[in-house]
Amino acid sequence: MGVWDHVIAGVLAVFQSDPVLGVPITILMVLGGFLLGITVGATPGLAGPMAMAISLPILISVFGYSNDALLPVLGFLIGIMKGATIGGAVPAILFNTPGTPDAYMTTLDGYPMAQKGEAKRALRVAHFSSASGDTFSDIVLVLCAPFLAILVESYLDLPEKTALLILSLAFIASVIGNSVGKGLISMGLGLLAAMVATGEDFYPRLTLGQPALAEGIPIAAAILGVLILGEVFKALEDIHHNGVFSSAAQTVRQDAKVGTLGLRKLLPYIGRSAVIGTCIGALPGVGSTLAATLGYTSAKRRHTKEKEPGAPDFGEGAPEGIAATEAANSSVSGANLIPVLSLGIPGNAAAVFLILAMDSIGGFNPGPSVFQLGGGISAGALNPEMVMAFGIFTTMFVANGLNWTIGGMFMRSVGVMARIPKERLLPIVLLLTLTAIYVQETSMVAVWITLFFGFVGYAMRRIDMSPLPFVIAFILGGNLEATARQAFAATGADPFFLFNSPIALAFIALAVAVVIFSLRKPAS
Amino acid sequence: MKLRLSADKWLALFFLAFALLVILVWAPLDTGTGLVEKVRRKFVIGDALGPTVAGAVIVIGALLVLLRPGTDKMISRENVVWLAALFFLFALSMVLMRYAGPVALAWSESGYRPLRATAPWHYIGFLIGGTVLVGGLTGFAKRQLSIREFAIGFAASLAIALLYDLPFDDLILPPNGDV
Amino acid sequence: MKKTMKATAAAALFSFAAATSAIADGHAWAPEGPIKMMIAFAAGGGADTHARLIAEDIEASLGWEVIPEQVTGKGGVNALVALKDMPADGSAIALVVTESLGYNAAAAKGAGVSPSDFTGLTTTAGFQMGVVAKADKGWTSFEDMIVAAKGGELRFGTMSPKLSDLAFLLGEAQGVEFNIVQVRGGRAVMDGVEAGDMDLGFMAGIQGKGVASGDLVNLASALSGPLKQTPDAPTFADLGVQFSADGYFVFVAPAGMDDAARDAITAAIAEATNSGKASGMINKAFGGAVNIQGAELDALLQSDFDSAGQLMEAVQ
Repeated sequence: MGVWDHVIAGVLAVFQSDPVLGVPITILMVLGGFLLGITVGATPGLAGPMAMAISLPILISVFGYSNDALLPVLGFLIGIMKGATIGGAVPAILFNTPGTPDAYMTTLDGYPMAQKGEAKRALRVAHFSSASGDTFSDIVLVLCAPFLAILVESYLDLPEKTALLILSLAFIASVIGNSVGKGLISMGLGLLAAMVATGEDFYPRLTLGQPALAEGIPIAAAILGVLILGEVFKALEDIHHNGVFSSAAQTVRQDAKVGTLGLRKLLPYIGRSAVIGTCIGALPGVGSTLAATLGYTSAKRRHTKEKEPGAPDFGEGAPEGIAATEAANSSVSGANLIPVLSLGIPGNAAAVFLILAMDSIGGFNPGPSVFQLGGGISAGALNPEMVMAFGIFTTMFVANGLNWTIGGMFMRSVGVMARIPKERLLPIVLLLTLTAIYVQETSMVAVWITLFFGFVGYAMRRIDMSPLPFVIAFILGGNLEATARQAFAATGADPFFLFNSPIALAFIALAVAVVIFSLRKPAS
Repeated sequence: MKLRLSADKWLALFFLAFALLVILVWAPLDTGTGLVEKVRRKFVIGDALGPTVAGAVIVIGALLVLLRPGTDKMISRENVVWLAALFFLFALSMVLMRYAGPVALAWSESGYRPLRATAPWHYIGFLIGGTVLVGGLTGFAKRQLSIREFAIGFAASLAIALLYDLPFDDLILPPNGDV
Repeated sequence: MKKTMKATAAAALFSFAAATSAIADGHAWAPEGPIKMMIAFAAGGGADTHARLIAEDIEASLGWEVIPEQVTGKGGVNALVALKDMPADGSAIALVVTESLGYNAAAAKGAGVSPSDFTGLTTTAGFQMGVVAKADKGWTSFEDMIVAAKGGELRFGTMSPKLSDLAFLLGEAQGVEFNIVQVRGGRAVMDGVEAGDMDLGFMAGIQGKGVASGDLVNLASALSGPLKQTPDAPTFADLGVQFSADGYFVFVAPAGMDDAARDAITAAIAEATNSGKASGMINKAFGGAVNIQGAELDALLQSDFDSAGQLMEAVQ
């Protein structure tokens, strides 16, 4: 069976899923996730990954562990991921408060536009740019991921795969956060956590004799603890010290007429930013915030040179600024699935939760084997994982379609979310997270483990150490150790297996180079 | 002589010490096999190698921080007080969540266990613990505990309990899997 | 929501079915509450799927509530440790493999589990364990592979310490040395062989489709008898290895279970493996149900446990 059979089977898997109220369930789930994502994105203090984390256990309870569960669950999560990015622009424009960190640059021109009475136009520019960037990025994903996977599978042997994992981890530790040293510490701690009770011997290693740890640290407990609880603890303390501020006090004048979008002028900015965002997104570890910053600054440079006299400068309400930012941060979401699907490496928090979902449900192991035509083992059969991958692509395009059609309309109605006070919302998020963990693990010990990792995540934020390398290393740690073991055994116990082939050697050299090069980065 | 070190350098020394502890004490003592093992007359990677590599990564990170300290951010006394307050609140609400139900039904003939899946009894612990957790946290953040916040906490706990319990009959709310 | 409705429907059916079956089959025993079914395998794989289908079939036919739960790791030993101290009243059972109670329990000395800690219920299916390679290697028989192995070390994929020992003994008996690559789960061996990371490996039935289409070749049977699919392939005994990879998926409960409960649950599982959705899946994936139960199962588990020591000694 050829590639096209898989593409068609994947598309059909989405459109022929069990209908609920006459609509295929997967499409309904994408819609639900997308609307939830916009709402969450528009709520300052909540972000897409948080909503993904809390929804996941509920989704798994609804759909169970069967193969049919994968697409509806992943569709919902992908919907959230995409919705949150455009939702983040809403309070940024209306209230000068970014709903998600990557929408900070949107406040710079969005809010001045709103003050001038052009809020609607600003929202429309944001929506159009966001949807364009997103669509572009998804197309790149579909074109690149399978080829990258096939390349990896046909040219890389076990030692090279080990080296590639090491390179990815080194890259992630180096580019996330302000300090390579702290990134590496964060990563080392993540690797260490991944080692608990996971050895090959029957002795449960590093458990300090605690039977509660004999099955290892529950993945969800560590990830949700560090990423969500840590953030909640820190945000609440900031409110405790700085007092409550009513960020969303004043509403802006709504403009009567929207006027023209001025698409012709915006398109070059959108295009450049979409390319920047897609490239950034394809690299593991570099997030949408950096993409937004790069998109904005490069557009600013171009704008000062080429703007028409009389048009507003960047920072004074230029629609080009919004377009550049939103196209860049939205185009990360598709591309960041390139390393996820072709290598099994999550590049950012959203990807972490997608991998967590695939891992919990089972039946789909992201990585190079996904795109093997022989994966169904016989020429006449479809490779179920490849079908699933094209199903996932289809859900992304469904989300895009929703974005183009109803996204803009829905976006304009969620401005009210910015009025929910954080100090009320975050404790509820905390309780919801702990309940979600309990429902999955049914043990108070797991709740305590989650709280423990919450304290770890809090401490990391206080000492300016990014928790993301920890989480990614925690996810990849088992994989790295297993691949290294296999490579060592397969080469007949060659201690230099990482250095004997030119490709592996090159990967290792690059890993060292990336760390050294990042050391020269000025501390900001 | 007094050592005057920046926050980042202290941090680096702390993690250096931790990593050495992992490499020299924890990994060798708490693993079943060494760095490499001879199995079936061939060497294979043992269970101690992974933790040792993790420790080594931390050592490298700590040395780089020592070499190039960056933003000097440290956990302050205020932070520690906040963490202690959080820990106290979590301990209190977890204890309430776990034991409120069994205590409330201690007088009854059957006790709590047979009723752990029966409304409204199986909500007791979750609602009381959840109310204290949410109300207390909001109060901590606003520096003011008020009935209103606890009322919101109760409403939120009830909403979450119903969200999980009504549609899915095989999901178990805390603490009912432990009793 | 769907589940609630299903449960209600099942309960309604049960009130009728119970009345008849209690007389007809002697299913007098019924659990007092939900049955926790621990599954020692990762979610989504064949082992997990068949266990969940059995749970569904039992719920549908008897109205018992069965709650599957993953307790993975250490080749089933983690699940056994968790199960050991649970009440033996039928409220907790686990799906492991005979190897978990045999080789793995014997090897995991610190865990302190042995067959005497458990009540065997029934096996569900056996492994069609073959030594498998990709057809495009050009080997049509076991000898072809050995000739290739003499020319250069081959990579042999396995998925448990016991199988690694067997691969080693096979090499020793044939005068070649394999580089044994142990991975987690049968699927990982197949992916490795497919991708060329391994030259050959053990597969426990997952190779069925590939062998049928000619993409994979069963070079040998790792069982004491021939493979159903490739009866001509030599067995391990033919090849000079005195141990075999004979193994089954098996349901166990804690020790000291009373006979009424044991019989009722055993009958319920056995029936599920021979009818309904579970049966269809077992036929497709594992070549049909195998129900070893009662005293025969007890003897099998004990002899596997006892012979594990000899195998471990043989590879020293």
